Amino acid sequence: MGYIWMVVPVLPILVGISLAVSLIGVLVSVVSRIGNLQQPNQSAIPAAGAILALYVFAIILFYIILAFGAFAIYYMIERRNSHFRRQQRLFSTLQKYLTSKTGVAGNENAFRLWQSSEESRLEERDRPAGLWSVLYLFVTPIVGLIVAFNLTQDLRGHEELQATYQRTLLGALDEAGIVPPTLPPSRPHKRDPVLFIILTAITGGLFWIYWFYTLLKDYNQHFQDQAQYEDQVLAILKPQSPPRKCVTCGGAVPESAKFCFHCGTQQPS
Amino acid sequence: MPISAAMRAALVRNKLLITVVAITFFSVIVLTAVIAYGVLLTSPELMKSFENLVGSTRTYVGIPPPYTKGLYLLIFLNNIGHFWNPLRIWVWAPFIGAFSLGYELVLNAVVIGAVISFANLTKGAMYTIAGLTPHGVFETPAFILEFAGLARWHITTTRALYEKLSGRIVDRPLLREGISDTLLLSLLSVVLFAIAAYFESYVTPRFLGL
Repeated sequence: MGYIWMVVPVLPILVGISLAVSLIGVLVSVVSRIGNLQQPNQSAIPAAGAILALYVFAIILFYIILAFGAFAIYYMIERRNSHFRRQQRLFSTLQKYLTSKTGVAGNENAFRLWQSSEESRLEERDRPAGLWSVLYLFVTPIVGLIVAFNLTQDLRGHEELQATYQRTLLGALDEAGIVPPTLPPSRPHKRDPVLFIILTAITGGLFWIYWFYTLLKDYNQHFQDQAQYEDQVLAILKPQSPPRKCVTCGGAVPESAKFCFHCGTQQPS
Repeated sequence: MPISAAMRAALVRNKLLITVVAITFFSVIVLTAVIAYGVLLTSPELMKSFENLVGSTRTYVGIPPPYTKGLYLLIFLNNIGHFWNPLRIWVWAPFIGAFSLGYELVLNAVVIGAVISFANLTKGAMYTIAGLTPHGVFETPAFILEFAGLARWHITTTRALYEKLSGRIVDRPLLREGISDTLLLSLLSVVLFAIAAYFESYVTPRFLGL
């Protein structure tokens, strides 16, 4: 998710300020008009109309802002769900592969991998993205805080589980006779959701801007780290095939190349 | 541990809370001051209404005259209302009270920002500085420390309640540390409020030539 979604926490503040200033403007013009005219009853109608128009405009803006927020919440939960599902499949597949490779189902590392896989399956269940966004849109925007609380907590727990799994995996790969990869250091996100929710409350909602930013940034970083990690793990598990040779000149040609670098001949796919 | 060392340790531990409260407070003040300045400058009617409102305040609000113990007590007791006033004490209610506190923080900052702009436009910059700075240098940190202490209270109690409700073991040393931090920050803020009230009652009026 791009940082353009930062409009979700920033827009309500800007709109709130604009509406407050507009309201003051309308009230001042009403007061001055009533003070200047001989017949105050006649000027009350356009004044009431201006306030009513501002009110309707505010309600429309309120729902537009809420709709943005509801979309953001939906995407945030949905990408969390799909990431967790993908990781559960990876855990399970890796565990099965390594057990079949070592041929010993009961060794300690294989058991721990199975344990992590089960823990992920049981504890990292899908959260209903649609339901949360509907609640946000039609019940109360405070739902956004609950969603943010859950997402912050989920990522923290998820990274802890993943770190345990990665440590065990290195041992399991070693046992299977596969040289373990040098994994890039992952960036942990140990944010305290209780602290964040209180800070949001105590700053009159202004801290929400930072919290929302961390939700975007932390998940984006986590996905990048995960992609690197998966690439490395899958690269070492991939069966090593002998290098392909050009059909004409016999020079080495990469697996995916369509033409030979040496003689330019088209290679069979 | 002597009280000064404990106080220093509490300030270091709560650096983040103090920073967040201070940033929010000052940013709302600046934002409000800028907006209020623009609005007041472009609307002479509003300016006139405010001047009338401020001028008539003394007719219905019984503010004691400057240089009196009555004014000192009024300011001091009003500022430390969160600790004794039954109408305001509910900000201590775990979790829920934090929202009321947030509202108060923003409201106070908005009022201060608006007052700065209004005073600046009607009486000039020097009058505004002389009227706000002497007690402001004590009152602002006191206010920030009070809110940081209350924030620490809410974080500590909410975390303990959450752990208890979700069937986990409550981290008692952390709970004790949180409560002691709350008490120390509150104590420091009350002392600063007492000094600020003294300045506001006896020093600021002299600066303003009252």
